[in-house]
Amino acid sequence: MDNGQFDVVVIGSGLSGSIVAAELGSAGKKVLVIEAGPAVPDNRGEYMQNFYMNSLKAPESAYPPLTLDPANEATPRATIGGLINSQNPAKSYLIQPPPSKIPNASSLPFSSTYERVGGGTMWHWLGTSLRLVPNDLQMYTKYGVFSSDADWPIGYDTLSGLYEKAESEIGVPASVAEQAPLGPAIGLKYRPGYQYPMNPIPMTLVDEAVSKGSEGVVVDSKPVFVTPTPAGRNSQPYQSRRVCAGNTNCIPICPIQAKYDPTVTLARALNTGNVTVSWQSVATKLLTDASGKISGVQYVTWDKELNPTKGAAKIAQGAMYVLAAHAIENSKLLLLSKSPQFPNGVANFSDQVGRNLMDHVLYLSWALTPEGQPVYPYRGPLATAGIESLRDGAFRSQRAAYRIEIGNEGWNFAIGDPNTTVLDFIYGKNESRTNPPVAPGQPAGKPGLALGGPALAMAINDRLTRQFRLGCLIEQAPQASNCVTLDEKYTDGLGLPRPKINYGFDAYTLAGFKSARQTCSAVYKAMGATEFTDYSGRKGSPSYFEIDGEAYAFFGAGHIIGTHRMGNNKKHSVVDANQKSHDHANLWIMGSGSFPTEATPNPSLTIAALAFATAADLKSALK
Amino acid sequence: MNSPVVQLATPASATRVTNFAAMSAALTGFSLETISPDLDVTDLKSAYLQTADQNGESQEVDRLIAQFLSMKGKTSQEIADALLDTGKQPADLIAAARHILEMWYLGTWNGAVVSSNAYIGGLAWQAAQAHAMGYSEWEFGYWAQDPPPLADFGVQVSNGAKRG
Repeated sequence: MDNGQFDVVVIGSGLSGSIVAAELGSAGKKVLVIEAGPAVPDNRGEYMQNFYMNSLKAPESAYPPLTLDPANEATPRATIGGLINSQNPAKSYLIQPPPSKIPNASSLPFSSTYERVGGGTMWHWLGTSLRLVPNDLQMYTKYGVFSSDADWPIGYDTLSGLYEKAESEIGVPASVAEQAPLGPAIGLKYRPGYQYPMNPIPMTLVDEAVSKGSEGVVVDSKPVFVTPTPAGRNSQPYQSRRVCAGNTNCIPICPIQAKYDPTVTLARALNTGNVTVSWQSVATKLLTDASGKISGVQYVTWDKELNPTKGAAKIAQGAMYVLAAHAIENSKLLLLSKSPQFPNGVANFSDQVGRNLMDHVLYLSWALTPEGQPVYPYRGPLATAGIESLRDGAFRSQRAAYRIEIGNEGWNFAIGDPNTTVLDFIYGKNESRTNPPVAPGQPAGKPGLALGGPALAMAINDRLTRQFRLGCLIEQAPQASNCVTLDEKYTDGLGLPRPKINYGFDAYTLAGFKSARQTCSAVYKAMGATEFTDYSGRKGSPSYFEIDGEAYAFFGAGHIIGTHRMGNNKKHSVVDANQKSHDHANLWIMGSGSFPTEATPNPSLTIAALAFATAADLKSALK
Repeated sequence: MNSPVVQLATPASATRVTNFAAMSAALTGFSLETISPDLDVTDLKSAYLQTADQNGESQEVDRLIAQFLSMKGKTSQEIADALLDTGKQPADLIAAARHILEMWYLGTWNGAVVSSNAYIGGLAWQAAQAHAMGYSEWEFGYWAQDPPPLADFGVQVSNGAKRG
């Protein structure tokens, strides 16, 4: 047992945990952070080397463990490697549902991933720092969809003040003036006189082409227009970190830390002298006393990633407890903590723990600009602008809204380029469907050229410099049946049960999917671009489904949302507006798991904003 | 022709590396200065030759080099077309030549990354007038401007460029 008595014990050193630790440490409170994963490395060279050498440059490619053996790893997690093997528990940490029968989309693999390392999953966040808009917080009241429990228990004006703190902590370059058209379009609001902490990041040539080319496109009475995306990448030196050099690698890893990550805030926490971190320490149970308060966190240490030896069980104690291990691991620990006193697990009087699991369902499409009009992708940050003008509107009573992210990485996400196209032209194949060009939905036919010499370089130049893609982040409806439970049959390397997933899409979400597809195609047409999106070849993959006879496949956005939603009604929600448990007077449960709905923005900025509310609430509770 | 800065055990192997580099320039369509720069700190040409050797393709590489040396005066495109001529070349030489192309363009052998320098040095990035994802030596805001012309990235843009 740890004899040290802390004011607060925090589980998880990612964005939420680091902000709480820094804020409380700065206020003179003693904080212990328990982190399941390895320590933050002294420099990122080792992680960069992992990235360079990994042939599958997925989000996890830079981070340990590099194996794919969840039954024998100390801190296995959801990975793309696991997702490719979604039906095989020997490779997939998550126990995924069986795919539904085509065309049905009611049972699909959950497709987003996370990390278990010091600093958390945001090592590989994109940087996108968009605010919610007021209507996002009131989907039931404004549009009559979902249920009254889907309305957030927090008002936009409160959230706006928290966003300002979050934008300062992360370091978000943007211009309120450039964002201003989103006021009339979707209700985006700032405090009068507010300015972002840094000047905006310039748009890429890809962004400019989409911006000019999409003028005049209208969707459900809403005009399409492009705005620069506020994002946590330095446009000037900030927090002693460098300016973005456009490495085009925000995901999986920024080589120069020009992109914010929570290790920045964790360092601020440690510099207070009041914060201690226990690395390689996996929480296994929240303990409760007779009054129902949390009395300790039981945890075990481990020595090596693969085939670990467990240390003896320890107990950490403090006055207050904070669970900040991200949505799936938060649910896992709450459910693992069941006892005769709390037979459904800790914080689960409502039976909502693990439920309403969401992701931004990502519809990806891709195209080539007209011949002779290169846009030079593979340069700049991964995404610098998007179409936000379709994020709100009367249509939300009928179908899911979405934002559209413009990618600067050519067809890297779409088909694994430059590799796929280059291999096509070397070996005379047509995986890219551009050797020769094949229209979407048509059979690939006979492969084209196998080249060498300057002709090879020129062919590759022609294709790669004209590539671009649009990624639609579709708002998924909260559904109680989409949930995380525990699978006692399958355990990790420490003997803990692994998360079992139920997941699928409802009609509201699918209607958004169909609209997203139509919008992207309309944008390509308006630009004079040639679309190559084709999912017919993915038939048989678990992420494949059909709508009205058309082939679709979806991707995870990396946004794991829901599982401990906030609300005012303790019978229907897990935490309150400050992320405090309804059931336990000294427990807070943090992160995107608290979101009652996900709306369309990437979640990190809102996670940070809510963390500042939690930190303030903890400070008052400790007075 | 530039003499490469390589540290190798024997002069004979140094010549082999030199010839491999010259053939690679024609085969890839990039300048010899790109393939084998005067100050070659990453020395990818030796790494790729070694990788081909380790994968049992030494003889094929040597036969390709011999063919290359017999084509003096031809353009890079003519040489590449001849080395890759599916109508005349045996299948094992075609396969070896394509493996060499894959290494130079992507830094991979059969999909496996040869080294971090190989990934970073992949000619595909140069052909895209870009940089390896995760390795930019450019400065903030460069992405709002057109890149330098393709020739500046080492591509022999004139199809009939003379070798050497």
